[in-house]
Amino acid sequence: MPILVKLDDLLHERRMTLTELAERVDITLANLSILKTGKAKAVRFSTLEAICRELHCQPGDLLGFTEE
Amino acid sequence: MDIKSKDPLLTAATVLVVLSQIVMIFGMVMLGIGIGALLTVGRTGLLAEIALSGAPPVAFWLVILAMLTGIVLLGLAWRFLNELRGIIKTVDAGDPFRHDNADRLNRMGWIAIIGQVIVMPVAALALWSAPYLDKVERELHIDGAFDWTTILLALVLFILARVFRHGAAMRADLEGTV
Repeated sequence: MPILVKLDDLLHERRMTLTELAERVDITLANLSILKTGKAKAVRFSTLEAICRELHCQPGDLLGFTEE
Repeated sequence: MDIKSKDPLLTAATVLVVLSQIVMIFGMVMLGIGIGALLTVGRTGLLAEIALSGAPPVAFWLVILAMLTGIVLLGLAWRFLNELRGIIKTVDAGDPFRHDNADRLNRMGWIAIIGQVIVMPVAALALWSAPYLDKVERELHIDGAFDWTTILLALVLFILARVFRHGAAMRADLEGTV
């Protein structure tokens, strides 16, 4: 998929687990897993906002684009 | 067969549909028995009545045909209700916007139209037989006039099928959205 989700890297840098992030942003672990593994088809702005707030990052830190 | 639902309306609908289907099956069985009886033990009696009424002998087979048509119509009605039961189940499961519900609604629309088309010649037959039936003091009334409400019902079902197909597409789009 051309859109890369760099959630793993960010979680590692912030020393946070996916479960902890799920609790903080009030998104189910299942949905965050879908996002992390690149299986998500779309991301709501509210989800992006919540993740960026908790991980103290910019959307561009979380998402990338690669030409296939 | 699971009838109970969290939604009382769906429970009531399922009960009504199932009861109606039982009545339809009963009707089909009774008509089948009737046809069997007319072809065997009742044949002579019916032929005598037809002769008495002055109707041509072919009327015997027209009676059989009318009863067979009755079985077909009841079968169609049973199938219509079965499709409805399928839709009710998906609503109860909280997942009604699916392509198979759109297909069910389409089939229900076609059943309504086919039923309307089938009933018309039977009604014409009843009209033709009326003067003969008068002579033997019998009555047969079948309303086979072109029924706009049935056509409207079919249209509503076809439109709902399209609504559900769009709903299923939108639901598929939403799946995988976090």
